[in-house]
Amino acid sequence: MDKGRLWPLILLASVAVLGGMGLGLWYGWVLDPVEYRDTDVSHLQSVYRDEYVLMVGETYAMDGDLDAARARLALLGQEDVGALVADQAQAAIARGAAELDIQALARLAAALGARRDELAPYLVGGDGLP
Amino acid sequence: MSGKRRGRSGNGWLLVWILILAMGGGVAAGLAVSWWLWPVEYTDVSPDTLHPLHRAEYIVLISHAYAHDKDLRRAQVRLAALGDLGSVGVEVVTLAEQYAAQGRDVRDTQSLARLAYALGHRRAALAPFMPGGAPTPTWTPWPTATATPAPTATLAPTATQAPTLTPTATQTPAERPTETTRSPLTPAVRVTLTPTVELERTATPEPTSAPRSTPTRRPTLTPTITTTPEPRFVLFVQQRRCAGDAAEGRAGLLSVVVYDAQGDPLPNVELLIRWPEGEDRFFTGLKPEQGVGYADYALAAGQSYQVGIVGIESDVAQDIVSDACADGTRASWELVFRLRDSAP
Repeated sequence: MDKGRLWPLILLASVAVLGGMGLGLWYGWVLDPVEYRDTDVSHLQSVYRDEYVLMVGETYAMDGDLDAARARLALLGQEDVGALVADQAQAAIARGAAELDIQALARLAAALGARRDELAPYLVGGDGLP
Repeated sequence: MSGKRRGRSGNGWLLVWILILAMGGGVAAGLAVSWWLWPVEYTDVSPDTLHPLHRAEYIVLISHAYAHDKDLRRAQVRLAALGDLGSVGVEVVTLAEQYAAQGRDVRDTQSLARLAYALGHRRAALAPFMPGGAPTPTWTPWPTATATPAPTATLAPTATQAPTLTPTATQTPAERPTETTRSPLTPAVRVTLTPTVELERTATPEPTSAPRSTPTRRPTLTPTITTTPEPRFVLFVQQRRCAGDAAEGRAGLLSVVVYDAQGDPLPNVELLIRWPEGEDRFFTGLKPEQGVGYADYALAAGQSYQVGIVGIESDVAQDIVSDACADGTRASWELVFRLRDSAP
């Protein structure tokens, strides 16, 4: 086969490969993408992660079971869960959240070893007294 | 000539095969990239996609949070993130029952039971986990029919006057005889016992050493039974409906209307719906736009239900099944209960 006839063939084949690849990507990303049915809490959208952390704080405020709280927070896959809870407590103060919520978060953060000055007023009277 | 033509034809097929193979290779490469190398990432998922174990943990946390802040609305919003609130409510009570049966941490079971209760799901098995220990459940057994008295009381009263006794009538609950609870049902029967006196000989000690038989009066009671009608909800209408319900969004819906003796709709009437695996309660008047005596309940496809009224004697609507209509939609049901007056 001479070169004059080979190049158009190669070009056509390349176009076909690219077209096929486009089809494959369209099928894999749009038509039938990978589905995550059994996700864990670490994949949760930030608003639900915050809710999760707050509920762990509320649960800790109820039962005082720090080990259980640690185990639940470990599911988030964060290394420093104390800082995570303290950050959320500070964010809750900043947006003027309910005092009960802030107290729950602040006390859990303190119990996890994350003590911050801003959170100190919310520790008074609870188990998380400095 | 024909050899040349055959040669061209062979080149054409080769070209087609090359194109097909190239395209197939491209598709394979695309799928490899989109499924394995660089798949769609779900980093911001909502709780309804959680693995069942994480989902259960999430529900437990919601119940603890509810126990902490007592904010039912907030708990409902949190539960709604897991799916339809009605089905998630059933999930809560099911989880509570599982935890109770498995002897899991009592704090978890208590919180779940209380949240389930607040959501309107009451189960006898969860009563021990409610505040105050084991309250008397308000579950009421349904009578199979008007009570038929069997006054087999052995009575030995002193023959002074005609006592009027109201015996406990023997009633057979329609189902679930294991749930033994205090029944507010009053048998619609009154039994009047009239003594008739006859003589019999009994030994009566005398102050002397030699005992002597003397006749004394001893009454025996002959019951005469008179029936008194008690207030009772009578099932006036039980109708399966098909046409037009799907268009109105009522397919598979049980609609109930409860009236008093004067024909006025009654709000706050507690209805009990049962199916082979469970039961639930709902109330009239929660959708005032439909009428204060109105209540509805979403029926599961193909499930058979019974519906009655709690707390007062009531007919029980049987065999309510949301099966398929001829037009392919699901049947809905309409029930009308009316209070029959106690006046004779």
